[in-house]
Amino acid sequence: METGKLEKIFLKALPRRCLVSDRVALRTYECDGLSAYRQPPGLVVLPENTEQVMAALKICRENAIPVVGRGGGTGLSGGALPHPDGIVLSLSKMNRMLEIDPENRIARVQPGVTNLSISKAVEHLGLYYAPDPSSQIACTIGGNIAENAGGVHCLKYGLTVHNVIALKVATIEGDLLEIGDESMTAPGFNLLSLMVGSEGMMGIVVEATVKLLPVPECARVVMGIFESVQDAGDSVAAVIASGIIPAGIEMMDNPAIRAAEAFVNAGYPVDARAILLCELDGIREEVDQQIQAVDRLFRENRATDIRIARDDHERQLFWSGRKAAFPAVGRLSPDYYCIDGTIPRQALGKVLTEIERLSDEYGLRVANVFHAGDGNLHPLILYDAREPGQLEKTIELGSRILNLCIGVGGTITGEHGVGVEKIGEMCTQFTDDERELFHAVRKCLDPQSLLNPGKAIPTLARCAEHGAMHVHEGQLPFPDIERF
Amino acid sequence: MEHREFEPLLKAVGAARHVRAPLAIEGGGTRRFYGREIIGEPLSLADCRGVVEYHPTELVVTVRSGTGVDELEQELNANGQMLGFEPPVCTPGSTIGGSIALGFSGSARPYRGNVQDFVLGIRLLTGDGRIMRFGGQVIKNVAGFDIARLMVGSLGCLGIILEVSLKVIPRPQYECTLCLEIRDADQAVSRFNELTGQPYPVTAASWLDGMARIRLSGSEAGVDAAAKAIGGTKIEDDPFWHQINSQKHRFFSDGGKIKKVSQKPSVPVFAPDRPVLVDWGGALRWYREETGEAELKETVAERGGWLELFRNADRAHEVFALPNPAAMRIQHRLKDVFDPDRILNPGRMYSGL
Ligand SMILES: Cc1cc2nc3c(=O)[nH]c(=O)nc-3n(C[C@H](O)[C@H](O)[C@H](O)COP(=O)(O)OP(=O)(O)OC[C@H]3O[C@@H](n4cnc5c(N)ncnc54)[C@H](O)[C@@H]3O)c2cc1C
Repeated sequence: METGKLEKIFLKALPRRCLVSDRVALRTYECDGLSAYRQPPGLVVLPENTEQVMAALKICRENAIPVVGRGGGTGLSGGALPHPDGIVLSLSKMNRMLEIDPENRIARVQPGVTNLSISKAVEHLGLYYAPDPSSQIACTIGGNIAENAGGVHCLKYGLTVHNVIALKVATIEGDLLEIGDESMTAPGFNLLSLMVGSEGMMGIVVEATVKLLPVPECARVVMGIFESVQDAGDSVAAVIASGIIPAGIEMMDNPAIRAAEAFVNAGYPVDARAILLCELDGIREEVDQQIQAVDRLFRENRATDIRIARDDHERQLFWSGRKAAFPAVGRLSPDYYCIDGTIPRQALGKVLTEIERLSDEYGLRVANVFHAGDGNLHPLILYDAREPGQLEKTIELGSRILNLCIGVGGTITGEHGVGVEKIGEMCTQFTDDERELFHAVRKCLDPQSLLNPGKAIPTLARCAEHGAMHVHEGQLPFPDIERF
Repeated sequence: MEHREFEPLLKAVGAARHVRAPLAIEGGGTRRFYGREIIGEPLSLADCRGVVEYHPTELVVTVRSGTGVDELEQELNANGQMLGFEPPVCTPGSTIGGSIALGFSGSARPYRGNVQDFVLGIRLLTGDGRIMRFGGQVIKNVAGFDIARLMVGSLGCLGIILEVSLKVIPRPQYECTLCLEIRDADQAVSRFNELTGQPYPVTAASWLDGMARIRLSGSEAGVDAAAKAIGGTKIEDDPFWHQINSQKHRFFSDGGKIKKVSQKPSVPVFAPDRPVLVDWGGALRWYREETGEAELKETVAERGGWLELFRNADRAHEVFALPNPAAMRIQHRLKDVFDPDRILNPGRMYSGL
């Protein structure tokens, strides 16, 4: 449906100030953090409260208009990519903290609240919200729930799914579902886990209750420097085998180290093949003990040097390079493309060697940052979109890397979601039966498939086509035809 | 064929489906008392057993559903690891598949997480005779909808769990329990809330008969420091936790009706002058014969939370609280997707489901 027509319908139920129809303004919503995919929406609706969300969904249901929910628009898989004939439902105006309950250590928030602002709002109570995606200043809790976002600290403190205890969800059928419960139990099937990570395809989250944790008494970080990625990987295994669960353990390879060091001067050794940043937190006595243990384990696994941050200032400095890794890599090249596969950690050496080989084969540089504790790899492929064919080549290389992850028993996405980006690889990771079941489950909440249609789960036809495209060992036919 | 070893189960489901005969899925059969009445031909998963894959440094174990919980725990223990959700164990008998289907979490639930927090992947046989896999064997995985966690607590009404991958945690180096005499249940719970709001390594907090118990786990240095700050009498290897988890504690032994109430911890404990066991730092309250169903229903309606008729209830009627009508409709649709002929544990959770 075209913009003018959409606007007319929505004006019947919503105030003018909640609608965006201006052609230029609509462009702001044409993509999320994965800007390789762009599509302006027919209309943007900015509800201010739950009633308006429900009113908008009612119109969509009655007129069969596709709805794409949107939070901060930081997603990296094209999950919030608009539908040309539909609306974007942006939750950005619903950004209030509704209730802070320090006694039960929970907070009830609107979906458009940013991840970091929850922790900020409870800081004075000595509490925080644990999942900390690097995008936390901009991404929203609604988007975190839709993607099951993770962060540097999720090995110890869990992903979004572990930290959300209740939701209010507006369904396309006009119900306001209350899912989960503050009492830590809820009757019936476990819809809460189903809703988290459902990529905006089962309902619009209008309220979330999240867990708050006490800020640890003490946090310290160790940097281990290695001559090979394998040694760094072995060190991680050794730490975990010793019974220590670090608050965070991150690896960077040489290209990533160089990029980060050039950008923020964190004091990283630019000649190292790999570094590990290992943060330990908890009670002071425990942390002191664990720091010593990690120091010993890193050395036993051939660390060439070890640095322990002396104070909080130096700890922040060590982290600054890792946190700025994406923009730092971005400075090396006009564009970069972030991959999100997860692998069993023991396959790390094999996978990184193969990525290096593929990088040579495609003539594209790759820098690797790695949530080493939980096996979540983020190879960053450097490319230049202005050069004809480079984007296609980059996407193809990304796909090869994801298939490699599946091959070693991993998965195509650890935290960024499938969106439009990895929909082809879903055909490899799941069977026809499995994908069919996903569609059927989705229809339990969205019988008309109006919520974020075309995302996350490919159709059977799409997979048949994808299969055909792979006949020539990764040599895609018609490389210049858009496949999305 | 990848799923060949499950052929006998597949056949059994196919046959039942053909004549629309209900199946009563059974692990070790230690929880036959739980839920509504059991109908149908028993389908045992006892032969579907064994640890399939276990790499301690990956913190992941993949195990067949009929494997004994005790057997799995032994294997994990040998590697200094454990199941974070502390499933109750009846030895011999309790199976890991049964634990997932029941979704019972032990005393560590508010601190380490519940059953679904540890589920990473599943191999499932649905009521229409399909074997599928969801999730995987890695800790972070958001490909596809989370069908694996949907199975937790589904009481076998959606599918037969054949295999499950679980995140495991290191066994703490040191553990102790602090006993504090606190007369009043509500006072104990506010003490729990106060402690959990601070960075102490609490992994369980319970109250019974004027005695609060707080379990601390971690490195010896950390636990000792916290124990000093909290006070109370310190004991090691307190059998209490295992006793309440497996319901072997005398509190459960009167043979009467056992009711389970879950509420937000700060909600005052109902009828604290009658026998009540408070667990989960205040969120879980167990009641016995002395406290009636009707009054518990009333207090839950008034103050929030859920009532479950855990044991010795009238099982011809509902024993679990009902979700609201909109959520109930979704439950029925899910049932139709996973088990269109409604042959898997029909009515075990709710009548007509
Ligand atoms: C620099 C950078 C670093 C990043 N680092 C991380 C990281 O460390 N870890 C990580 O997990 N991710 C990371 N991301 C990815 C991204 O930030 C997360 O996926 C985040 O959860 C998206 O939130 P958002 O509010 O921006 O959602 P959007 O991008 O707006 O939307 C994402 C999806 O959520 C749906 N959605 C949004 N709101 C709702 C709602 N209220 N109800 C239903 N559906 C909704 C949308 O339809 C879409 O499918 C990073 C991104 C960037 C740009």
